[in-house]
Amino acid sequence: MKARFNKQTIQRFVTFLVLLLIVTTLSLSTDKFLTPLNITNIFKQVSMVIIIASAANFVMISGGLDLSVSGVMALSAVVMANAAVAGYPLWMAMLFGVLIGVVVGFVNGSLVVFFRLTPVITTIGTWYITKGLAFVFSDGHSIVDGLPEGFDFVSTTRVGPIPLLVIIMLLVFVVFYIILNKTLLGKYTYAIGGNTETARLSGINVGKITCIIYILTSAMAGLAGVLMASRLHAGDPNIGASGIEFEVIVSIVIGGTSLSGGEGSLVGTFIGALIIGTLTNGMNLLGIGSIYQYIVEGAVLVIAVIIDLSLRGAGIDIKAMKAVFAKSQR
Amino acid sequence: MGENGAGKSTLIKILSGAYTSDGGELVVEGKVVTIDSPVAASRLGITVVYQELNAVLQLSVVDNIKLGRENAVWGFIDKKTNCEEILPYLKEINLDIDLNTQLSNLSVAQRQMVMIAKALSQNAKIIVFDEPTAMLSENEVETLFEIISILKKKGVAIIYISHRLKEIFRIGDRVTVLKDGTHVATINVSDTTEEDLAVKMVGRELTNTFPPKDKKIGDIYFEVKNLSTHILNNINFKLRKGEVLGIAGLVGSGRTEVLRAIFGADHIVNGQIILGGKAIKIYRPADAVKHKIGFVPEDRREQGIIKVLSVKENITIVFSRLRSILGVINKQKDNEVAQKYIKELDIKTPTMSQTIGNLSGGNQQKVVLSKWLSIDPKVLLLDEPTQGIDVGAKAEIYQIIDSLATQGMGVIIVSSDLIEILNISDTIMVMRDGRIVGKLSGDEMSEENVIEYAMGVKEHEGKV
Repeated sequence: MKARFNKQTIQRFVTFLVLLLIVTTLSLSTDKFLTPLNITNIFKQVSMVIIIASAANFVMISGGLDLSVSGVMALSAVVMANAAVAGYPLWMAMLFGVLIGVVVGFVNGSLVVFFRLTPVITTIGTWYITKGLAFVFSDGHSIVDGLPEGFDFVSTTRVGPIPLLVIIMLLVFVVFYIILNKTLLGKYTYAIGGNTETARLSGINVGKITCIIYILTSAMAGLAGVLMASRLHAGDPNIGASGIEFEVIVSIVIGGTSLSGGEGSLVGTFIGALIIGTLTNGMNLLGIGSIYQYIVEGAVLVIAVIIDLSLRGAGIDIKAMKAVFAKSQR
Repeated sequence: MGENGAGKSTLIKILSGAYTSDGGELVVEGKVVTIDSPVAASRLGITVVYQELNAVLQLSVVDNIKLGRENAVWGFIDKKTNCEEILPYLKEINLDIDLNTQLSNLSVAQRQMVMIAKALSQNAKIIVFDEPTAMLSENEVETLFEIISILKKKGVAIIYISHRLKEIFRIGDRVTVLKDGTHVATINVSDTTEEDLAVKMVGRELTNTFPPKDKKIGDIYFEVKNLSTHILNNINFKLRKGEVLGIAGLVGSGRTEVLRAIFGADHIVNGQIILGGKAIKIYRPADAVKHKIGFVPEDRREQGIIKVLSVKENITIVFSRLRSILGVINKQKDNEVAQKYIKELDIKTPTMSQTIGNLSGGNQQKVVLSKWLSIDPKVLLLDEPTQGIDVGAKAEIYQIIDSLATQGMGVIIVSSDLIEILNISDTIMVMRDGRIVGKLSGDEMSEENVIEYAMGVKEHEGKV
């Protein structure tokens, strides 16, 4: 009876051990790894992923999926840059970027809830549309000319030794951690993912909650887009095109969120993002080159899910394999 | 036989090769055998007809029976030969259906028959039935029993697992009782009595399974007027404070739909619901919950519990909202209420953070009850609340229902178990074809009366 509880703890522990192992190996392999500058760099690199994943984890715990985030990022970056060029104050331009995310999230939620489209189809659709709109609003070019003074405040501002981007990331993470663990929204997210019909029959407004979750995710994608535009000092419609939506999903899944919903944690997601982040960073430092990055990320994802499944007792049957092996030995 | 958790299902799963045994021997026709896979089991002639039938609902009758053993040429299915081969088996059990019908269009009973035919077509020598009557109506049960006697005459051995004592006496030759994973007794059915078996199963005397009916019934509190949905036709009834109202009828007569309509789970076409003298509007379950109406659904696993979440999360899923401030959960209150009901309802769980999927059916049902009790409901709707629950837990649930009614709650209970509904209800409504065809109270409440109304032998004239 206690076994199950232990399995979840073990799983969390294993992810943490993997991170520790990577960190140890890298610090032994190169003295460039464990420096304050490089650590700051890693956190900066994973910031966007964690900001989006903090909210996207809700979608996945509720049993859904959001593939539209890179489109939303691009659109919000372009919208922000356009607004800034047009002379709106910077904070208002940023707000527009986030708000466009809210709108896309509302569309995603409505399509899933009212039109009963599957989340995958819905968000592939809105990914195309937002991506397309980003190109339309930027004429296909990165918006650089006419950006006001201070547009790149994200890349220049620091609080003590810590970059502003990391501070914002930590803030977002803490806020979503509180929402997931302390509020009804978090509780209902788990309930809907665990069993939608039971949730409905327990008086939970499943449609409303689902919609809110998609809105939060797109809003965070919007925020990431705005931050990215400021960091790059450009409203680039190609932001996030390297597949940030999959990095988000990989981090969440490595962190132990079940693809079938109902289970998952934000701390796990944070560790998951750091695993990907340190791996990428380490490969660069060791000169392996970023061309291998995708292969490693893919392998890590698959291995993580294999471990996760067998810990849950739903994956490869080790007992049965042993039996087959024993037979062949006879 | 045996209570939930006695080890019946585990035993079957070993027989069918789904689990492997740690020790001991299995002897088939004098030979010691090992069964390490379902294929090995069926080669030995052992087939299981599961409670939740393992049929592919999207496939046709013939495809299901022949699944994995189709006649085919170059991968193209030879349908004609397949049909010809299975026809004699269908005939054997008097099943007359179109072989091309998709299984999802058949009733549960018919699907069961198809799976029996499948077992026969595999030359089964031993057929194991796991709670075969749990989902069947009374006359479907009769048909099943006829088929079982045909199988017996053919020389097929039957292992029949059931919670229902009466069935064992109806069809059994010998009975084995399990308890806590150990063998208690194997006796000839003719040498034992229902009471004796019940004592062996529970390990104690079962006195007062049903609480006495001596509580006070109050004023009319809840009223349903002219309720219609796409299945229900003009339902009218009144419920008093402290009254237990039973709804009887065959499976498919609309009993569940009445509860679902009241609770807002199904769309109401027409009608009025009056609570405490005021007409209320219920469009969805959330509205019903707001008016303190609770609903324990029939399908506990798919609609009652959330399997992957803890006992505490399951208990407090409705309660949390009442004590939260601006959406922030009052964790302390949540913990208190979970502890309270674990203690009051004697829910057997190591801790409140235990995953509910690991609990037995009876304890899961107590959690579902706690979920509603925690919001202090005025009306409680129960759909087959004791289905798939062992004898001991059943008695406890009857006790809970009775004490709730005594405290003034109105309870509506749907049940296929006649003994249960006759003993627990103060009034019984009988349904047929989406209508109420009879209302019984006091001395009119007898098995014969309920059955005659349910089957259409009797009917109240005009509006009931």
